Amino acid sequence: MANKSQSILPEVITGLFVVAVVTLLAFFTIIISGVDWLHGKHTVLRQARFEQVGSLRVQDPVHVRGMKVGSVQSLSLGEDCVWVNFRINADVPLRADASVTVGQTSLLGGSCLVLEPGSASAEPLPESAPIGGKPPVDIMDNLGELVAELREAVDPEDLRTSLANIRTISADLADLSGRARRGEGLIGRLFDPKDTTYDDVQATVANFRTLSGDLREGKGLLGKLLREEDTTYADLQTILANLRDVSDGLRDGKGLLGKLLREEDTAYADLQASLANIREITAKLNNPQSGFGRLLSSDSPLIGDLEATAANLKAITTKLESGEGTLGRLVNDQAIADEVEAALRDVRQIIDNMRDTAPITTFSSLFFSGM
Amino acid sequence: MMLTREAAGSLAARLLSGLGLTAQVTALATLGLPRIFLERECRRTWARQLYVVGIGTLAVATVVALFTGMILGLQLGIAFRQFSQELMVAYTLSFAMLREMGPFMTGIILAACVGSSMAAQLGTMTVNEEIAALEMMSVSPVRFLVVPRLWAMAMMAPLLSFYTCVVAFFGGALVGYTQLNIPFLQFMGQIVEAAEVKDLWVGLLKAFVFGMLVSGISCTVGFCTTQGAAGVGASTRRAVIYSFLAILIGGYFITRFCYVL
Repeated sequence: MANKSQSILPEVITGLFVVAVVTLLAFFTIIISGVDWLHGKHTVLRQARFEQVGSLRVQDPVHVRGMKVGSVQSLSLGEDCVWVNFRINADVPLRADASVTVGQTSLLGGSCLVLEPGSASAEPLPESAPIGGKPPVDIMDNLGELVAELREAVDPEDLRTSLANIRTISADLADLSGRARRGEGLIGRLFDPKDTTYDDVQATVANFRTLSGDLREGKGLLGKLLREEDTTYADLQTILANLRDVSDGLRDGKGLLGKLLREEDTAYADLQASLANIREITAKLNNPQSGFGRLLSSDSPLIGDLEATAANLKAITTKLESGEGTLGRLVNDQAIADEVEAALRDVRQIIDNMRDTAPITTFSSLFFSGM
Repeated sequence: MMLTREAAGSLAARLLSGLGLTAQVTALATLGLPRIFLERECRRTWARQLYVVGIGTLAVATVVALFTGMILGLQLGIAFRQFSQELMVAYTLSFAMLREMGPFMTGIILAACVGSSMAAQLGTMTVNEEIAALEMMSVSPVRFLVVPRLWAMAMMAPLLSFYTCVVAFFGGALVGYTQLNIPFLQFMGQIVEAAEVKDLWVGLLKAFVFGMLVSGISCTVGFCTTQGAAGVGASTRRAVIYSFLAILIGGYFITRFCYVL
């Protein structure tokens, strides 16, 4: 009995191993074949129509908003399209405006169906209705078209020239970097550990920091200008407003300056003419042959005559002031002035009398003459 | 020059002769499949060989597969981490194991563990003229000895190959969890997502073919053993070498026929 058990044991172990592995193999096959035995009743089969599907394959996932909701079941070639059958969870609501596109799962390859369920306001999509598929964006095709367009657009000669320029620039950059590495030039000196530029820059930065601190604290004119309570800005604003008013007035031709600035104004022309006249007068004054020129000339006899006349006038006015002579007494003596005034009054009276009697005397003269 | 040409001719003749003999033995053993179900003794030998091939190599296969999966996971992780594509480790591991590495490792393990044993056993029987005795009793040594061994290895190799793949997946997932911060279930999910039915079944086909090749070559080499105990050792070594070569060459051609570039 024991011998029989021992002889059976290896076979039992082998049988268990085979059964276990075959079961696991069957389970793995079912899983990777995409058949959902546990949730098969809660999925629905949908169909989409594509112009082309790119690298889409059977068992590729179907995503809705990034979540996997199913997988591609089959691909079949139609007359002018590709029909894609895919199975998705029944709880994914599809509307009449639903759409599907072929997306890329990664840059290294792999495709998936990206399902857009549609707007909530649209009617529900019947299970038998196909969904419109958008063709995938093929990056390589687009790149190929771009290269082709570039080839057509870019002149090879220009390209060669550009490449030559790039080579030149590259050589220049290499030269610059070499010079910098060797410590030549400003940048090279900056790389030099002995250079004090960094210290200077640091000191400058410190100064700027101090300056900004002072500004923040409202020190100095700029600091005061930066303070919110400072009225300088308001004053400046007012001044600028006034200046704007003045400039507006000047532009509108208001005031003297405004009128002067207007193109149709004649003041400038008048001023120009006046200046020309003044220039002419001064020229004449400067001319020693002219009358005024002779007057202004230092060797003119008129000056002497004028000086003598002025001396005589001065002597006469002095005598008048001192009361000498008839005019002097007349001016300075009140009694004489009163007598003269009375005499004048008498003369006026006589003249008035004569004016009154003149017609009579004239008529009488004429009458008696005729007689 | 003449000697070289003669040596090459002799080598080619021996190679062709060996290939022919192996093909003959393998074909005869393949055709003897019904005997397993019809003859009780043959079925018992077959069951015993199943144990030897399957359970006898299970420990070695487990360790080899586990560490192969871990090494692949680590190396691929180092490479893919540069592109922040650590999950691609699972994809690559799935492709590699199911398509090539699983059957290849299984074939190597079977050739080293079981094929060499078969060659030694049959070689010893040949040296001891037990094979000749069987022939004298009108018992076909191929049908009596090779059929159960060949079919035991051919049937157990795909199962071992799948087992190797699963263990390697676990090894890769272990590395992914500990080194690459990929959750275990997510890693396994990516493997399942990347796996395809065709890859799985082509891998199983490869393992099946490798099993037949290893057992056919090992038995043929064992039958051709001469010169006593030393000959048995040489036959064992030759069986392993020829099996390795057959696995590599056969693997290429199966891949070439099953996948179109």
